[in-house]
Amino acid sequence: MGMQLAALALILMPSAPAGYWSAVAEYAGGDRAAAVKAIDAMTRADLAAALKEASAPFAPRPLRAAVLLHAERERTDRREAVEGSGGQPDCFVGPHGSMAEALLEPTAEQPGGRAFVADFALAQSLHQRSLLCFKNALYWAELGLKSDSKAPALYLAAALAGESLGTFGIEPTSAGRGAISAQTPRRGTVLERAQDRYEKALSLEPGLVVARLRLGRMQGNAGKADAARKNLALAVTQAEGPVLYLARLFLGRVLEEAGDLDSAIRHYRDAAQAEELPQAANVALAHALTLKGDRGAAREVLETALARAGRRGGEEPYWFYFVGSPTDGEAAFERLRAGLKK
Amino acid sequence: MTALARALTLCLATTASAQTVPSAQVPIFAAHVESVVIDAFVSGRPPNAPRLEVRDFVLKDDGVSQSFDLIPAEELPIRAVLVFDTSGSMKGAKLDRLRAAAESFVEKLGPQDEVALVSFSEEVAWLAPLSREKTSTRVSLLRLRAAGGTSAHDALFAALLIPGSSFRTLVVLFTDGEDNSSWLDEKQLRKFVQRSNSLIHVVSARSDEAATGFGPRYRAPGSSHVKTMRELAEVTGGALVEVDSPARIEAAFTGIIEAMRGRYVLRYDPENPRPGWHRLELQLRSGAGKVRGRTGYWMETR
Repeated sequence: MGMQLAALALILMPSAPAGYWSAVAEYAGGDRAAAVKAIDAMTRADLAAALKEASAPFAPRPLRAAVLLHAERERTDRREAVEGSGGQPDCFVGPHGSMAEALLEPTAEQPGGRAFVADFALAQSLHQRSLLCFKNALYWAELGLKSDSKAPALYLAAALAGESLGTFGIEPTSAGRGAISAQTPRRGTVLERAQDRYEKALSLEPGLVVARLRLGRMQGNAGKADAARKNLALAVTQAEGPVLYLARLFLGRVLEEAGDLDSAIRHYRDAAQAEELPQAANVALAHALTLKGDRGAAREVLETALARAGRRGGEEPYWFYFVGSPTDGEAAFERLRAGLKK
Repeated sequence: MTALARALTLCLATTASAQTVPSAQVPIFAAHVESVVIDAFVSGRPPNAPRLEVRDFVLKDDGVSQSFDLIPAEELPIRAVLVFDTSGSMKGAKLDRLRAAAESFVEKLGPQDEVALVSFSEEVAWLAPLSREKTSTRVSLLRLRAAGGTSAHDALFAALLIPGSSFRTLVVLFTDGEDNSSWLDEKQLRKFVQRSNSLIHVVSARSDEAATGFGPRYRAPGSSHVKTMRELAEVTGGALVEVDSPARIEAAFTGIIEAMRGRYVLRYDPENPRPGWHRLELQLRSGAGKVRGRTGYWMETR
């Protein structure tokens, strides 16, 4: 009787448009551009029918590929929005973005599905942050934590989004997730929660130097100078590359605010030399030199730094500290795509 | 000897004398001269009213009346540093209008006046050095491109620091959004502005892009960013002008240069060399009209 009912349900169910599942298979096989093009003309009704079919318990489908396909189609829209608006994104969620999210529920029911959902949420969070859609980024990280509550990377992603959101206080007019102001917590609350998330990430993975750096910075801003100095000094010993640059920069600020200008200047100088052509470190150094009364040296430092502007191609780590890098999310999506072929 | 030459002679003389005094307690200004210069902007007087004279002003330094000279504004070349927001939200008509306004501003400068150009997104760039030769600024204006964040604080810091302060510079800052990528925070910048010898005028455009996810779309006149910028300008004697459409940017720039041409320049040597912040009060002796000038200056201890 049960089998008969299931068969009847399959017959009565609206079916996905012709070619939909072959497009999904094409995507899983690596022909992403063709697959994205194939679903380009799908209407909302088509998407709804495909979702119903995908959700049918007796019709197992390659749902992970479908999720990634719709997410990629959605990113195409956002990329156009970014390029058409001078680098500023539109944070609303389009039909393919909604479809990708809706497909996560049946996907989670498949073997290994919850881990996929967590990894997908992480990729989405990092990607949304790089689009400056911080609320969306926070939403995705918190969604991922519902699937995997012990993932340091997801706590880190939630904290990253919260730190950026709390710092900028962005309120997109277009319908980004949680864009209704009445539901938006105060900046201070968002920042406190971000600190908690960094601490949780560190408790799960003490060597997560990015979390230590950021926790130290936030503690410094919150007036917890001793804790900030401790975390940032540790980050200086553990980090390398841009993270080391930022650790020196932030440690310098904590020392400067504590009145230890000489140590601050030493860290700013080290930061300025650690990265190629960094501007924030030179501004910090020049400003600290003016506080020491040495305007001549300050002018020289700043003039040199400003004359080099534009040569880095916008690779200032201090800027990416807040907005993330487009490559962060893309690398996470690439790992998920690679998983489709296994 | 012109008033300007007299002022310069005084500046040089006081610098030289300061150098010969070995005491660590000799106070000097951030400007490294001992004269205080005040740009006074008078409004609310009849259009054909005669120019004001020394006797028409009352100047107090920490509550103590000061005697001062009036230097003819036309004898003082303008040293203008244009500091322009080129963040992502400036794309389109706003940047085009800003460029046109700047070209018109440069056109109105005299042969002795100097101009420099600084742009900022998340990065600050010194595009054209201070120079009487304006071609470099004009060419750089054509190269402005909009993208990225807003480091207004860092840009203002650079504009105040780099030209040096043996002469008073005019900094014209244009921005359309809240600072979001500077290293320097508001408190650090405020302290530095107090110690600078520059006059700051700010033109603030309301950011009204419809579909952006970055930066406020609308800033009410009382928003904290506008309030901060207004305070920074006013402490130096300048002002903040808000424009609600790109079409009004040029008028705002024209207003600044006309105000500079019509201003009064007061100069005096303070009798009380106490290090720290000195509060200035400037008033017109008669009731007709209003006057605005810097609200104080900082005397350093060397």
